Amino acid sequence: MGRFALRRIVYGIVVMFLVTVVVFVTTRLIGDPSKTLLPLTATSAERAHFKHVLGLDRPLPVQFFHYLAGVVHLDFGNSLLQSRPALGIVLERLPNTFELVGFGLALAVLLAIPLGVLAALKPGSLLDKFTVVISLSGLSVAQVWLGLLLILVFAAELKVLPSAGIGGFSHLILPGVTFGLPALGRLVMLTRSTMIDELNAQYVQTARAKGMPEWRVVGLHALRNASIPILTLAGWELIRALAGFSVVVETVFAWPGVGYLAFQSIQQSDVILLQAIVTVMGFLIIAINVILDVLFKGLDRRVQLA
Amino acid sequence: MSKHRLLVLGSALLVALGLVSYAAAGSKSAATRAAASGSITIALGGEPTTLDPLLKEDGNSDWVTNSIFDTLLARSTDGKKLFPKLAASMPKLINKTTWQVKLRSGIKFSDGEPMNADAVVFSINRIINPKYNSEQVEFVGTIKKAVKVNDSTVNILTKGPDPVLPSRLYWVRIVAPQATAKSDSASHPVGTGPYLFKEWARGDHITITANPNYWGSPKPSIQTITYKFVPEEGAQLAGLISGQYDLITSLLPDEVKRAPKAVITAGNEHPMLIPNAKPGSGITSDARVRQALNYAIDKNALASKLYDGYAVPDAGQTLSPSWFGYNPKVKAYPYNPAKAKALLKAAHATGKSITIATESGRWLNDKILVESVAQYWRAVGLKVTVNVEAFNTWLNQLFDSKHRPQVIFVSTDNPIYDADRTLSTYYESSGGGASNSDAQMKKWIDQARTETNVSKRLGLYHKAVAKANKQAYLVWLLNLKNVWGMSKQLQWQPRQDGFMYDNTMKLSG
Repeated sequence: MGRFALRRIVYGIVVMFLVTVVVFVTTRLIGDPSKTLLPLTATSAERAHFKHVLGLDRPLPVQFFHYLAGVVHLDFGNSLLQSRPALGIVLERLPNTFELVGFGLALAVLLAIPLGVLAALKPGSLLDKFTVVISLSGLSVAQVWLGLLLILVFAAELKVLPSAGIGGFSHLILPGVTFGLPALGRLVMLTRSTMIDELNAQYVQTARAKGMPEWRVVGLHALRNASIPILTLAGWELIRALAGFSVVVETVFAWPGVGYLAFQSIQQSDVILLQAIVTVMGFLIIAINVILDVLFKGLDRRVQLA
Repeated sequence: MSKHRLLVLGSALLVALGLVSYAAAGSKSAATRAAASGSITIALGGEPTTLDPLLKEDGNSDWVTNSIFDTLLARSTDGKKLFPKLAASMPKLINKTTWQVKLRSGIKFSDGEPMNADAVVFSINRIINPKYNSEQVEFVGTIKKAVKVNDSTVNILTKGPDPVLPSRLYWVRIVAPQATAKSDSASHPVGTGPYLFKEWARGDHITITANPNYWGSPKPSIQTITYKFVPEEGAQLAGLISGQYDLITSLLPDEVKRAPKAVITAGNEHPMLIPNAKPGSGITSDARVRQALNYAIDKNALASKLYDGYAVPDAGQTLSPSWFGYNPKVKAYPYNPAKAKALLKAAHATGKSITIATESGRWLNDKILVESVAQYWRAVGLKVTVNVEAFNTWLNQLFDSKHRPQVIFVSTDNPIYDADRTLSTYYESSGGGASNSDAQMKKWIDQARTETNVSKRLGLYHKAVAKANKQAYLVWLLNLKNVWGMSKQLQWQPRQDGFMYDNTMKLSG
């Protein structure tokens, strides 16, 4: 177990370095900050000076070396947009993204498992059909549209929930639901199909034949075996959210998280800030992967390091 | 009743009950909110990047800092007149490259520092310092340095004669030297303005409060002003309708009727197309073709259909009537498809292909505007292709004067109300966005930049504008109006430049 974890961590560090290289190269491709940040009517001399002071006119390898040396000391440089340390800005926003993603995913998981299990107990029943319809709509709906619809209904018409921004639980509800619904749909569908498979397995029939109470059969035996794919998907949902899928929801609801920050920095070619965002997120995703892998190993000793 | 129906009915009832109770709670909170006087919330399209007023080119920052800081000169709401603000009188030209400014005395920054020659010299030398790398440098790039003469007099030295300097002083906000030297000055601004900085909750809001000791007028009438950052137009409107916001900055023209109140002013934004007029650039190097491109477009229809009437045809010059250099004799090309066809025929261009490059989404309705223009051009017998490029690709094309597309879309405004920057960029052959090789035009614009005789300077711009219009160096489209959405309780007359001075806002009732 210890060796398994160690190998996962070393693997994670290698991936992290590769991420740093890719991030540096791609952020240099998104645009020229002197063109996006200065007014269109600025002269070419003014643009050249602007880039020079920021060191963006140096050869790429030189810039990369400086960047890498900085990253090792946790110095990602100053955001071009805000002229203050980029890492500080990302860390300032990170809790907000965690709050949104955490709430949305918790909502999805806590609803999806009971719904999926109940649906799987009686496939084809009214409850099953209802669950499937809700899930399919949840995972098919475009988040932008859903978000705006919820704003229109609950903020503009009913005036019961705030339309945007952060502050208190009421602000969390609409973005959380918008974020959680597609994940809920996917999780319900997976829980349902996995549970149907498990409940038809021979060990379940054996358990029932032995006279084990149904709640133990379902809750302990079948659900435990179904939990690996469900946990994998939940982990994937979390990674997906951190990898940028929270951008849409955060932008629609003006939720001051990392996704919205990334959106702004791409728009404005703030390459320094974007670099910091992607590196920090890359680090988090790798860390989550390592933790999940180790967790799976705990759930099922047969899991091998790929 | 079957089980099915019972279930459906039951859940419908539950939902309805929930909604009714929520609605009741909602209307109550809206009522108590309206009763609380003395505070408003303004929705900005984004979070200010900084509250250092000299560093960034960022409208969201300006909207906040303009109420915290003052400038030496102020401008009338319609933009036509400059008058002294922190300055005691209008600046005087004492020799070809020196403007002298006398300052009002007895004004203090909110931290107690005196607003005097030292503060003004500090502010001006700060914004032009190359190491400071201000994004606003294009507004002040002609200034060499500021020098203190005595406590209430400052000389501003320019690199060459600079007739635009007074307009530039409408831009430079005067900061407090000691407060600015502190490390947190970009997030804790200290000014002489009508409002005091209170707090900045990153990612959520900025709050400012009325300055009880404000030296100027009008005195602030609303005690607390909160800025929220709401990028999505739909969310801004929803918040305005529900009473969360009193003023929104991004109200779409087709949503004006849904806002509790909307105020419209003349604006400074001019969307247009740049046809490549240089020799060897295909049919657009022929003036007759470029004139035809102008005649072919029904600008009035674009203004009413695409912008719901919140735009007027550009008067064929990219300048708004209130800017220095506007030529009242030059008019928009009238919509005349027959003439356009005849001109194209005379230039042997009928049936030829033409390509327009544009981006999408930076400006209101930009893509649909360009596509409508393409349709007008097709109607007079051209084969038109529209290339919608990614924003950064489009930027590279715009700034690459050697390989610029045959026709490229751009929109421009001018916060200092002077023709210089607009014409130097889009009319003068060496400009970043110009596509002509007119040496005479270049000479006029270069001369005007340093001509200190006001009427001579105006004459040069009038000549340049008239010639550019005749040669159709651009395809002029519209001059957009500013549209603001407000709550019923807010009384405010917005400005043509879109600047926000919160001490001009009042609450009714």
